[in-house]
Amino acid sequence: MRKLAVLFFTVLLHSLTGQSLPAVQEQKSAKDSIYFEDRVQPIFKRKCIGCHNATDLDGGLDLSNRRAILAGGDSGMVLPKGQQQESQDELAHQKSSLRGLLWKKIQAKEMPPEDSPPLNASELNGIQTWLETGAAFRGDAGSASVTAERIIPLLHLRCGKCHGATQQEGNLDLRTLEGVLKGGQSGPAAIAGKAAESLMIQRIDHGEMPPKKRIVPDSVKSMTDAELELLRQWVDDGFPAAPVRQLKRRFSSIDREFWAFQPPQRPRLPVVGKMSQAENPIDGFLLARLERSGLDFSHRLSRQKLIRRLSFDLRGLPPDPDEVASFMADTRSDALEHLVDRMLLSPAVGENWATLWLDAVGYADSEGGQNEDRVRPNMWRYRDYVIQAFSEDKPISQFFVEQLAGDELHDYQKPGIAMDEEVYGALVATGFLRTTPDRTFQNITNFVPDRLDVIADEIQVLGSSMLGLTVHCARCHTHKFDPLSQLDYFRMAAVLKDGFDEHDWLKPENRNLTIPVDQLSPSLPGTIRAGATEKEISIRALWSRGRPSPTFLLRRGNHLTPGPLVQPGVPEILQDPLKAPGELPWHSLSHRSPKTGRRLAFAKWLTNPDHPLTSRVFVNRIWDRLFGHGIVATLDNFGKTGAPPTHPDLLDWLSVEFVEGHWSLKQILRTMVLSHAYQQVSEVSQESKKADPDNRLYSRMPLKRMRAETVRDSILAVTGQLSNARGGPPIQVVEKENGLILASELLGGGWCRSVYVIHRRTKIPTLLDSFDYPQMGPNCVVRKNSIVPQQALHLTNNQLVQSWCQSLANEVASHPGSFDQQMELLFYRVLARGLEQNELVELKKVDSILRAQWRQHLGLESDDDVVRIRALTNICHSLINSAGFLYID
Amino acid sequence: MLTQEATKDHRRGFLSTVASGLKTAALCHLFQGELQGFQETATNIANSGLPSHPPEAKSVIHLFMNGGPSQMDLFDPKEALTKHHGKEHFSKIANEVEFPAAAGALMKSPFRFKRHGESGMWVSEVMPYFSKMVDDVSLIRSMHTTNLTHEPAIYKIQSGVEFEGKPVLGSWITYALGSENENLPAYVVMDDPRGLPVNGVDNWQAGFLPPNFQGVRFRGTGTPVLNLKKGFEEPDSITQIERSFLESFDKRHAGKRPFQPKLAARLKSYQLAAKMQIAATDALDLSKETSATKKMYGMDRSVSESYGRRCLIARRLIERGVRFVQLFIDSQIWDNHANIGKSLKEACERTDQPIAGLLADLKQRGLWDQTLVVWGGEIGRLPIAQLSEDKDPAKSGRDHNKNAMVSWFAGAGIQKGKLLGKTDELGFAAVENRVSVEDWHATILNRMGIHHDHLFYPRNGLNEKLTGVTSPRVISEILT
Repeated sequence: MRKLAVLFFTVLLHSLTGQSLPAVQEQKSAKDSIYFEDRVQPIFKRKCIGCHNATDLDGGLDLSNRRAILAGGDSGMVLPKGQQQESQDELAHQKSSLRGLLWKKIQAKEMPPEDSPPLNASELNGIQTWLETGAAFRGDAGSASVTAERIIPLLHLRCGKCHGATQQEGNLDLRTLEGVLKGGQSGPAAIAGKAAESLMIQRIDHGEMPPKKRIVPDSVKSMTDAELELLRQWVDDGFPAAPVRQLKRRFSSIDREFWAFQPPQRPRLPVVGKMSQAENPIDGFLLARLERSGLDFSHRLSRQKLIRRLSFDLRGLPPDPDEVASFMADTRSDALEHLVDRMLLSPAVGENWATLWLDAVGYADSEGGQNEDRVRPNMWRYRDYVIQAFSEDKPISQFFVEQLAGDELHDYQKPGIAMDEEVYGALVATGFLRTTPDRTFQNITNFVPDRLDVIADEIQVLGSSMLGLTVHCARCHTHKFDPLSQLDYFRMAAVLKDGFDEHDWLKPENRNLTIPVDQLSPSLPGTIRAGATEKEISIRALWSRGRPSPTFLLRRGNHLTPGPLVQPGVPEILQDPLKAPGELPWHSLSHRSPKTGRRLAFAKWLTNPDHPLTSRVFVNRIWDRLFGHGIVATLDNFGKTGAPPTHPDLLDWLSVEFVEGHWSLKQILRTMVLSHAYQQVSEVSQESKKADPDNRLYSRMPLKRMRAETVRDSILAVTGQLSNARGGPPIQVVEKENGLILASELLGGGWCRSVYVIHRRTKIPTLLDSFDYPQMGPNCVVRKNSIVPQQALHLTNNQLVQSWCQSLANEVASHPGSFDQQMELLFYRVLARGLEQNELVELKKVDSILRAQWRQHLGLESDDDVVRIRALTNICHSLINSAGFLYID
Repeated sequence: MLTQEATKDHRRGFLSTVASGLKTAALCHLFQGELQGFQETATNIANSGLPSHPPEAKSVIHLFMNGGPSQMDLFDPKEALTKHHGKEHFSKIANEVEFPAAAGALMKSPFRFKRHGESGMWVSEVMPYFSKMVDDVSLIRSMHTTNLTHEPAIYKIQSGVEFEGKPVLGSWITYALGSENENLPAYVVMDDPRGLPVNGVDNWQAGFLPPNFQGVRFRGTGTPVLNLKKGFEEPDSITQIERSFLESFDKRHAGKRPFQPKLAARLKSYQLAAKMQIAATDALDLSKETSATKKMYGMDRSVSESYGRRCLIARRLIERGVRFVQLFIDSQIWDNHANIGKSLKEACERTDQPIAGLLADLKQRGLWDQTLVVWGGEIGRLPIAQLSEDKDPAKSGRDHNKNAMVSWFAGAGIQKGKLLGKTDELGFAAVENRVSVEDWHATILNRMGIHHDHLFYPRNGLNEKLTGVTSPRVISEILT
């Protein structure tokens, strides 16, 4: 008993200190005599080994021998955990898991799969009895030897920091067998068959390597006893090479039939009864569905409301009163087209639509992860890049390629290369892969698992923003619902590897490319020189370093349990079925440089016109922002757990139209807003409420609340405070003593649009925060639309909001006209509409009451300017707080 | 997925609950009901099955001891440390140390321990007030976590993962259960006037949950909530005129737009904002508390006045139906890297009496059986010394430890005088009845009537849960 307790304790300690457990199953087999080799192996040979062998390795699992079975598969251990690992109480709680994952799969009839011969009753009984009596093995007979497949990742993990890509201490490079044999200053690191005499084994065994006091400064942990044992075996066995694995296709053509994995096809336009209502094909597709439900479009919005809606949707700002007047007076039949075209030229469009993408990528100006929340000083260049790309209507395909592989597009290191808009923009664009929270700037949170978390977040961002798939779910196991394997995840990790290498890590402060100022083309805007030292500017970027470490699949996503080597590639299900599984369609670099070109190849594959997801995912995002919900409601997830498209034909038409229109954002926006569907009223009729309660059929437009940035920007605009300063380093925030966080005023007075305010994760301006400005974790898929008292408290009680209203009141009061005219002006300014007669009556009444109160309060006999302005400020303040201002019909 | 009709009725149900002034989930669902898209709709339905079982507690007070209280100097005496004091041990645990350069030998506790109460629980001399309460609490000495650094460990204990961006415990609970008092926020945070804890406002973020489930920061003095009072001069009568003008203006706007419940919800939110001004001010008005009560909370001594005030306000808040109250201390008073003989003692002086006072007060006011009180930090500490630069043993402290930490529970549905779990002989790692952070979360949810698998939020293709994809166990040994 005592002995058992000691064993129990040591095992626990091992597991606590991150050491992997020695195989313990055999120890308890003494009292039982059911052995794997006698009873179970024959069954496995008949029914399981066909797929779960060392070559095919389905699900990462090999069931042919003891060691392989104990190693488990992609989903982790398949046998029940040894009793030694857990207390009795926990066991009692986990009775169901007593027989382990293997049994779970068998019991659920998931294994063997449908198309294979099932297990019969006696076979089931055999396996069950074996598992229940402790899953014993006779011994090591038939077990595979330790190969380079297990050792190379181990050497990278434990030794690579000082004997790897960046440093070769003692002239020793331990990344490859060749390096081990060649050795360093003291001779070969290991001698075949002689582990005990091998220098590296001795050094590790004596606790000299890694030096214990260097563990934190170098962010490297020492090798565990179990790992050292593996290394010994490998050396003693004479360095067995990794087995050759032939990758089988994991998914079938049936998996591929799912709608989102089929390239979009230009659909035939439907014939509908009310063809006259259709402004363009969008309306045809929508009407076809509406007519099937006995519904029709709602009627068109008045021009006055339409221009307000367009202005907010396109520019994120209210229309100018003059603009409203001239649109109302424009009698041309294509007045609307003219208006839309004029609006689309505004730089405000880029600022407004950039937030769509900045949400999707999780843009932030600070690292997060650590209390310090260190500022990312050059991230703003990426924000300006996105705004600029949308402003100049850069093809979205190019926009994507630059973000994924801008550094591989141009040979920016070539001496004397001109740093023009194209090259500068492409380098800045790679900031796309630098957005997520990142605590690795501190040594203590810069170990391999910390780095893997950062990479996982970036893959999540890439998956949700561009691919529309939850690829990140496949980090630890094959995706539960979609045909995405763990291999697919690590293929993508390998694509990113030469920019993102957990064994050759660049800490956040080292992620800047510096460009000499004299290399900057004069055509570049002046703002980009902001923050420059005298001689150079810094760009936060990701770049190919030309020496990626090999990528190994990590079982259960755990860096301590590496699996087979994985090549860079694309998710198998999205790939040309004639190619080898996951193969990356190569795209050669246009220049000679040491870059691997992996990301460029991936980007070219992603932006291929036939790609089933890229264009669909993007147009759906645009649609969502205009129409209130996506054709696919789950913007980031087009997989099986995502919502199916409500209008698949429309989605395909939009995608094809978008791609054929050279991936133009503005063109597709124009098409959407010129549809009848977009021009419908947002009023809900009894009929459409009943037949289309959630507006999935688009029988009307949604009544939309302003987004966080729009609230702030619009208040600034209508009160005359909004500056048109654009771009450059972010506007700082100040935190008041009571915790209120405010964006700073510009030096010359006025305030910038919210997109230019610093997005520091722990210091989000209070006004934006209360109106659902997102916390990026790691990105924002859908903006919330909450209604909370904090919003009312801010807009009614905040001093700054009130002072802006006072400025508006001053301006209105200075207008030479009558009170009626002043009110008309105010209404146009704030609500983009004129006054109704009854409103005027009420305003007059409330104005006179307010004036009387202020007179009394200020102790004045008659109305002077102060009283009039005070009363008018109250009126302005009410309008800013009103639903008529904050909501868009 | 339920039909759209059912969804609609569900939503309307909550609106009418609010209109008739009824309690519980009203506030949250009022605001949540109008969110658009399938995801949120599904969420409403997903959580409509809550509570999973009859709850034991109505409210939680979380006394968050950020910094990492030292288990072997407070509740878990180790003879072996006295015996082996001065012996080298670092090389055996080198992977588990934050500051290897400063790592010293095994170090005995500078404090004397005694058994207390009928339960005979060990408590060191630095917690004289808590010593008298041991028969009221369940003490767990076998917790462990996954990261030895404050930031990730704090994210973990607050939200279940080591990164920002996920909803914290208080957000999940209020998302599930709403508030009992619609004039006060469901989740109130009281941070230390001296400064924010590590991770700052991230400690009470709602992550991907709607922001109304974010913790609302109350200040112990002055204006309790941001923007609660007018930031400019204006007589109340005039504010009232403006308010009624706005209301009539909004009502006309809403009247022209039938079937838009979000406009009604908005009107309601303006009314709530006004009511909150009164309710929050009242909750923080301690003038009606007797000096005996204040003394019980240690408010008569300057060292414990600040934390005592927060403990007393916590009681007033849960009395008023606030669901989740969380108290913080500035920076890291429990992070005793140096001079532990002095610094740990000071941390106790600031908090010991206020906490004992809170427990006693809850009991005497009949709030004990409806309130769950939870005490604990994010990590524990190491059995070896962390040396000062001059290696003076008197200035030694202890470094972080993720393998053993302590926490205690008290109040509704919690056993009294129960001791759970063991660490190894040096106090380095929990070895018996190990309790993970997920287990700890599941247990708190359990006392609130929530099964950890029933509380989820569909996002990114996954039903996100506080306890993630783990299978935690509720710590049944400490439950009544």
